[in-house]
Amino acid sequence: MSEDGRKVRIIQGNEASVEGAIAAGCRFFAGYPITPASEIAELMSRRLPPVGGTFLQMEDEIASINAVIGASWGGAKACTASSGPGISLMQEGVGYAAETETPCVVINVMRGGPATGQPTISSQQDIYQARYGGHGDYEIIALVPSSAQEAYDLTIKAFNLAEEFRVPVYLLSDEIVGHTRERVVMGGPIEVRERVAPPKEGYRPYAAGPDGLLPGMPAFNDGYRLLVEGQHHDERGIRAGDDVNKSAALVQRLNDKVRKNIDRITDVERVDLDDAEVAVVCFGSTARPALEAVQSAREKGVKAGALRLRVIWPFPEKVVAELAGRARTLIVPEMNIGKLVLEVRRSAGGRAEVISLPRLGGALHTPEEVEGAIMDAVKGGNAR
Amino acid sequence: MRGTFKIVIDAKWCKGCGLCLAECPKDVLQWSGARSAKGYNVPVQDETKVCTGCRLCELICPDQAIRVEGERQ
Amino acid sequence: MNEIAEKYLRQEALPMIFCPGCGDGTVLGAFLRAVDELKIGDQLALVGGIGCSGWMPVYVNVDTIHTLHGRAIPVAVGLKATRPDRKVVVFTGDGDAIGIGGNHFIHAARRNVDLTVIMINNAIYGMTGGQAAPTTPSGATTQTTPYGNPEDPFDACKLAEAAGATYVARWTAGHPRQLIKAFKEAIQHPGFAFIEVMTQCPVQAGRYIKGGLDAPEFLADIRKSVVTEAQAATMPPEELAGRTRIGLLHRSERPELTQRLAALNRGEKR
Repeated sequence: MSEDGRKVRIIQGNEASVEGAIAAGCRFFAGYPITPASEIAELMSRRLPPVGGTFLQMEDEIASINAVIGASWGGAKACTASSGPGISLMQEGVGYAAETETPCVVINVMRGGPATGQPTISSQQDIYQARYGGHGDYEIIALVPSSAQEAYDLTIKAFNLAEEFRVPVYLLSDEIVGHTRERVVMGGPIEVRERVAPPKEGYRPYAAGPDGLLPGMPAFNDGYRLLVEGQHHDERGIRAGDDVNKSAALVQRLNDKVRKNIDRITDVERVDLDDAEVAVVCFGSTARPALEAVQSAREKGVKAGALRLRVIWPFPEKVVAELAGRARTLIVPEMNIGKLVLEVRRSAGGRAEVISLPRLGGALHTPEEVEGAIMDAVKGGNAR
Repeated sequence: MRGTFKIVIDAKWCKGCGLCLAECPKDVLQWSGARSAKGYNVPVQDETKVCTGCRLCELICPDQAIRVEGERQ
Repeated sequence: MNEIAEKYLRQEALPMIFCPGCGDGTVLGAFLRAVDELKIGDQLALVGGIGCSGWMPVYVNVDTIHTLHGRAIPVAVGLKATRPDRKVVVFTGDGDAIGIGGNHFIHAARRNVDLTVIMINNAIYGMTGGQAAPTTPSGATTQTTPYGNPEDPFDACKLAEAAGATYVARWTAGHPRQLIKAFKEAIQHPGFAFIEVMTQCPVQAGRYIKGGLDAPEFLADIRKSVVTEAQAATMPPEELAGRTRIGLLHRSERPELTQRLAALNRGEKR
């Protein structure tokens, strides 16, 4: 351990997520075993009790997300983790957390689907589930780590964003990130957003500030006499589902508080983009071969670059639009049928050619495959 | 079981379900026949009958609309 | 409005949604009186499910969470685990607790987590318009059993006891004084306490199952269908047949979950 409290360990991304969660102040975890996310529950069951936290293995994933919601209102930073089938079961609960503005973190270590699919193999198929998985209109925030280090860093960030925006935040990890053991620097001076109790005088739990955000997070049993209501509600929490104006205002705000604050949330890494003619837009484990391909192409004198997304939702459309105005071609490698490319294409608005590089089956793209797409694009080739 | 009891039924909350009438062991309550602002027939105390202050009407009322005033002596 | 209601109800949330003659309000009144007698109004955290009964805690002016259909119990488990010092009470219905939420119900009982679960049993899905519930009597007609219910109902109290609940009682909306006593016992019981309350639902069950009984008739019908242990002891078998047992049905002691979790926090291995 260094003087500033940092320590270096070789651990899996799943373990790094647990360490990040605990560093961020997570003191409640409820979950249910599932491959490839089980290590998160296993390590939480070891790590939480000694730090005064609670681990509960629930009867299913529906119970897990709902226990997390209860714990969050009880005053604890709370988290659950699962993979495809379990995350599907959680969707109603995630929507409830969005409606009631309950801060919580959901870690999805993505595997191949649909159905039981590929329990032990990676995918990036669930990105739209994170955004649109529940019924109704709401926005969430989703972060995508590319490495064990980012599983640590972005889990901390996920908790901070959940508190700041009073919203469920996904960490969209995947089997490759979750199970790859690599060097992780932990501890030291990290930024943690503590929960702030709002003033009780005249408190209205759902009265938002001008930025659409609720100030602080109250806890049960601290004298607020809270009413947390899953039906559309007014600023006091009283049901208003039959009031078209109040219902519209609430749903608009639940979406706007994320959409209109996108500049505070967007987090991208720009690699060699200043003069790039071909840019790879990448995220998660797919970014690993993508960045290698860009470096290799550069070494061959090709003006290639990469835009790596650390926050995938809300989608950084302004950043992509600006990039599309400068680069000739955008290439989108992803381990699914070709999903994020739709958002990239929409944001590019026809200003750049957008090439989809999807991959099914769970094997990561090879650097050569991505580099081949870059070279085809440079030659004006026929890669589509 | 002595004392004078007044059964106050709040027309703002009463839904006229009749549970209090059925519950009263002394038939002290009767339908007023008058409609409340919400359109319900709100019961009233029959002053000719003796209320023993058992408060069963107050306990059974689903709408917390009944208050029995007076103490058992 | 009576004094108890003035003291404890969340006035801005009124009026209550319940139909005229619904037993839910009576049960809520009994609960408030139990709370008042125990003087624990400032220690309460209430959780409601979905259905008519899930609205009951919404009208109480304490910290309340109105959850998803079937999920009141896991939310309550999360709340209780983070604040074990509080009295967490769940208001749920028969469909909410042992239909859609049955898995959570049996596992919370198995864990013996210190919750009070008040299950209103109206034997029907009332809020959605009168469909068959897991508690609807065999042969009963409802909106989804037009030819008579081809299934048999659950006995929620037997289920609770088999799953590990350490306090199990059943009363009816026609027993407000007994309910007050049972609620006080359940709230003070250090473990999973379950109280089933058989209630009249004049608008749905009254119409579809009972052929048009009004609230007082329906409540009288429920009272006739139940029997206490003392009554049963003197009743001839032919009169006892088909009646539902009410009263305190089970009470036992077993280590409680949040106390065991606290021991883990102190470093004790279980």
